[in-house]
Amino acid sequence: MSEQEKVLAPLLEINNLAVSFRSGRRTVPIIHGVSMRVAAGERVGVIGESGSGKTVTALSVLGLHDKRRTRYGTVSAIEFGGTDLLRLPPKDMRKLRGGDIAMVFQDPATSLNPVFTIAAQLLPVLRIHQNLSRRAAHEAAVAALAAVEIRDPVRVLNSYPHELSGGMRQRILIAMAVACRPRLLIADEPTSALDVTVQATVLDLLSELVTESAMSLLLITHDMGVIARLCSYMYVMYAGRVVEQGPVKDLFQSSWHPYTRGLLQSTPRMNGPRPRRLATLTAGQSDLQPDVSITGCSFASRCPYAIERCYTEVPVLASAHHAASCHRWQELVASGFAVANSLAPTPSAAGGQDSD
Amino acid sequence: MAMSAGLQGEAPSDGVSSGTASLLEVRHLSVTYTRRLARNDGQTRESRHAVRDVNFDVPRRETLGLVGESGSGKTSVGLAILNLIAAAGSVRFDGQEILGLHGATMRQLRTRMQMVFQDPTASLDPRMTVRRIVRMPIKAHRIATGTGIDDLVAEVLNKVSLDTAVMSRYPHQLSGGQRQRVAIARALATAPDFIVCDEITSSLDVSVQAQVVNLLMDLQADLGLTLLFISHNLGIVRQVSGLIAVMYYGRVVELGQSEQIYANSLHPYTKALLEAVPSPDPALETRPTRAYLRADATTAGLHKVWSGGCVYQDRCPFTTDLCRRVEPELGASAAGHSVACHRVDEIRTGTAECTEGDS
Repeated sequence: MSEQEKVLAPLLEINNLAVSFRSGRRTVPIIHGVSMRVAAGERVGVIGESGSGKTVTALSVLGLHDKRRTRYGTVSAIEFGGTDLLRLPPKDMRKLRGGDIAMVFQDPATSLNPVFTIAAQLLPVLRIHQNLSRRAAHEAAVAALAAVEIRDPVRVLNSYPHELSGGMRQRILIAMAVACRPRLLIADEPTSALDVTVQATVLDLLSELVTESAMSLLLITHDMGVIARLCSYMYVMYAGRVVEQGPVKDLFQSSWHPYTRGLLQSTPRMNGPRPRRLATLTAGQSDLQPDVSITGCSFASRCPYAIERCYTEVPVLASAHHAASCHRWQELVASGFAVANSLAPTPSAAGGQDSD
Repeated sequence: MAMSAGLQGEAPSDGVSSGTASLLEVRHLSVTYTRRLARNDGQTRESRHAVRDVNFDVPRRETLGLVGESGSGKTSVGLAILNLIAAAGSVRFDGQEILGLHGATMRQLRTRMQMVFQDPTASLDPRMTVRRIVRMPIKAHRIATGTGIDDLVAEVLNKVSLDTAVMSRYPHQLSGGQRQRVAIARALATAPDFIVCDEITSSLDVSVQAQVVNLLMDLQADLGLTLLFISHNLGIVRQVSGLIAVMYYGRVVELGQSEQIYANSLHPYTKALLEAVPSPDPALETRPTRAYLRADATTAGLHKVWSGGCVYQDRCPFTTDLCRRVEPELGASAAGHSVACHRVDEIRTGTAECTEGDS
């Protein structure tokens, strides 16, 4: 709000995004009204567990969902530099994709086609988006690979994906993504498939590239450490909603939503005293699917602080710089999350009993 | 034992030990994989060491964390210890040599040593109900008969905090965390002393991971289990393991008490690993330089054939001529744990200078 960062005009503005997928005769809502903004040059992180809707949100920005199966909400809009991407004709969308908006996917092994050389996959990107000749594209490709610290770009260009290590492949995908100087780079779990040492170097590289070319970054991850290293602002997603948003430093220092708090506490630390046991998210067994039958807060059935109101009324996320969608956040934060829950967690949770 | 694995100061840490101090003693363990080559120059086979001359002990009721990158040989060590792949050297389990055992003797021992795998979706048969899955080891080892079988199934499911209602379900009807609990229940069914846990939390979400780790630690305390915990997640390993062995390219390069290694690691590879983990704390994430991790770190070198010298020479910032010629042995360091590095004293005192060895 008062912070100067938000005064910058947003490059990407996701407004009230609702996505549902048709499956047979049913329509399954996946995203229930998500709003996010990424300013020019800003690095924004999205964190959440598998199934929380992180990737679906990212793919919506690029329009990569199967059109026949996907329905967007009527009031949903994704504005990028003034145009609404959800209503952009496919032809214009294609120009944007890989040009102004680029994406790096999670698994470098499946993102590259195994039967083509790197050159065969990298050169067309440059030729199409930048209108380069074959020779100029080759030169640009060599430069792009050198920029991601690949030592022997000419040899790598003539290699097939299986001849390269995981870290190399991910560097190539990053090279491919940034080759056309996109204004927005979406990275979906870019380092989850990599070893920690390789992850560290790839994260450093991403950070440098983004800084150098003043790109905006939307980084999707499940790793709090990756967000801490790379991002300045973050969104926490749970069951298709943003449950908390704010500057990374504020959220790590004082998270307001019980879910964010649980997520941070259950991450094992590399320093400081070792807890006798790790904090777990909830009173119940936290690997249960979010309870969709609840009309209120989707986290209620797992939340140790849930009260009756949580089961009947959906909490609203304020559009503040730091905000949490929780009925009780003020109360919880004020008491240091020490208030007792006035309602026991639902015993109806199927499958197993409390383990802690 | 003549070949001490360097766990000095690690006295048999509880009074319960019967006979030998350590439940598991691994000496000179090597695993070699051979593949046929389709070549016509006479060479028809090519072999590579996945594990080379590895030594360590796991004391009773303790957990040894085995960390390292993919391809470092962690899983091969786990499989070799359970006598599931061919290996050279010696593995003594409760005083008994198990490498080379087979038939009824090995089968009997298997009830005492179990394994839990990385991905429960793959390690649980999708066509079996949870009841059948957990019954398998009970029936195979004739641990119970008749109605006793189902009672035992219910009992072990109870131990992993699963409701008996899951007995009639199939793996796909369970969440990831529940599936991993089923896999743990199956391992517990034979009442083992020792379990190899191979990356059991890496397919789980953070919050679920915390629950499975807590469960495992509770079970260990209740049942007196000894664990070999294989993982690349250094945070999780720190949480569960009292002892740690760091592997690189088939060798153990650092071994000792985990508190000591996390606080005062000495091998350049361990230092690089610890440096690489992004900390969930933005205040700590501002550090600009990394002393030990080279920018071009890749795991590509792991595919090379070892040709003498230190296994870490290509990635190490401190490589000298000596490192290229002579392989350092795992030996006691002044800090109290074991390190395999020629320059450990310089590194400990901070006087080691980078050699910028460009290879």
